[in-house]
Amino acid sequence: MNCHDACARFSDLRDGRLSGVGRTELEGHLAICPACRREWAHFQETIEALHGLTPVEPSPGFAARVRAQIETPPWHRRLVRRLFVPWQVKLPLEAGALVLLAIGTVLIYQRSPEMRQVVERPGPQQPAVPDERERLDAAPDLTPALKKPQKGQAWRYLAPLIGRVSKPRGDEAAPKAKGDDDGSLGVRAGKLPSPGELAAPSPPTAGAPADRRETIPPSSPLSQSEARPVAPREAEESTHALSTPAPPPALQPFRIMTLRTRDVAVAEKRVREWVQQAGGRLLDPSPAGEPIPSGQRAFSVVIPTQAVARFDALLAELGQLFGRELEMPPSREALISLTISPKSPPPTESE
Amino acid sequence: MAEEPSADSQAQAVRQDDDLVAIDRASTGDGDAFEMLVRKHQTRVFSLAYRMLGDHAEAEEMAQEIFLKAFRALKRFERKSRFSTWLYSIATNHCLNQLESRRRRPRLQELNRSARREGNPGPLLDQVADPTAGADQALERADLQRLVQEQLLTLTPEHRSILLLRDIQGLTYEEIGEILSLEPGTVRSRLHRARMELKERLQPYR
Repeated sequence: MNCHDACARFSDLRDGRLSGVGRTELEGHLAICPACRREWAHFQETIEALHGLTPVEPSPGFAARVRAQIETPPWHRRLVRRLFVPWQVKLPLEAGALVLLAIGTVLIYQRSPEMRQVVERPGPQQPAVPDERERLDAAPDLTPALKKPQKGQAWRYLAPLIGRVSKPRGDEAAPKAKGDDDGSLGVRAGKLPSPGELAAPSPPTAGAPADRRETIPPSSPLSQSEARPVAPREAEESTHALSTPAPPPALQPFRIMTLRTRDVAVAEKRVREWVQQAGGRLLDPSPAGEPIPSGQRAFSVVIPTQAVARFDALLAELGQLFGRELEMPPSREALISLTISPKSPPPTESE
Repeated sequence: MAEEPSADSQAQAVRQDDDLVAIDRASTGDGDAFEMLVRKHQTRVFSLAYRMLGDHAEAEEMAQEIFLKAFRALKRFERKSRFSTWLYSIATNHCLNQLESRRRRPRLQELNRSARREGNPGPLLDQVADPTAGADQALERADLQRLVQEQLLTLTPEHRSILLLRDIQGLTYEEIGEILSLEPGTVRSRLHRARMELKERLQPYR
């Protein structure tokens, strides 16, 4: 047996797990090897030192503290007890409260259109200018294309369209004459013909400002001034001059929209077909749908209110749609003023 | 040479019987019976926790948790082993988990513990203050105990736990294997390595 083997058996020897030949060999080696004898002595001392470690007592009252802890039920049991015991009383009360809460929630939801609108809205809404937001809140559901105009673009096109222009934020300010140059503008709220008037357009009377788009060529300086947004009072005068009978109060402009598409003619054809199928009618400011300057088409559409969402979907299919909802029509029919304009403006005559 | 401690002595059998009666009563929610079990085993459980963790306050907290855990698991005690073995098994695993979580904790807590140890030497001196022994002898004994405890804490938790279970608590290899989920051969070799390592650590102080 060598020293390494001897040291490896110290634990067995100490714990009495070595017997017979193994024990005799180890004891024989220890008798002749002073180094291993010293190691064995140190080994014994180490274990004796461990044995000499006195037991440590916990602080007084330990058992009582443990008992107090075991007699305190765990937090989940305490919670259940607090919530449901005595169950004969608490359970019916809690069930009743839950039912009342559910009924209250449903009632509040049903009676507040704002909440319904928030719930049904698919994504976060763009911040609106305060007075415009009020009108949007009262409006029915819109298609996503209409609800989320792209930043900057919507105001660029919409501000001149709305009779009363409220100044938007910062760089999104509504363009004036320049805005018309891209050929996307053509119909303004103030100049919308009444349905009766559009059905039977009257010739321009002397002294009264006629529809300039029919008479003034695009290159004329007057056509530039037309692009300027018309003030409400001016628009009102203009409408009064054009209309012979008073417009029926039931049908108000509902939406003013601009559709920018690659092929104006195709888009117009599809809109006309769709409106016919939907049981609506088209009111052209120019009787034959004659192209107005810069290749646009402008007309008003009267469709059943319930078909508005489908109409929006159709327009969204046809091209890029910009629009503004003005008021909820009181009647069953909705009036939509639509301008279809080419996506890239056609070259001017001077070019 | 010391002999293997006998696990089946008459006294142990009597104690075991006492434990079983108390366990039966405690498992039905008898607080008095469980308090009796706590009083009986608290010193050994607390000592084990203290030797494993090296901090009096932390050991007391651990010991409370160990007894609480045991009380909640009392119905699962299958009585195949002694109650004390089952209790040490809970205690050892709880302390090993605590050491593992301490290893992951920030160093600040370790510093707090050291400061606490320095400010309050703990119960060691009280324990060794034997009125029959001389003051010098008591001090020498206290120094030795502190030295052994310090060196014990430098061992790995696995080596420390096996040394405590065998050389302080006096459990058999089989019981240690049951507690640490080790084969008897592994217990034997690990115990030998732990003892040799402690011997090496104490060598400079001889």
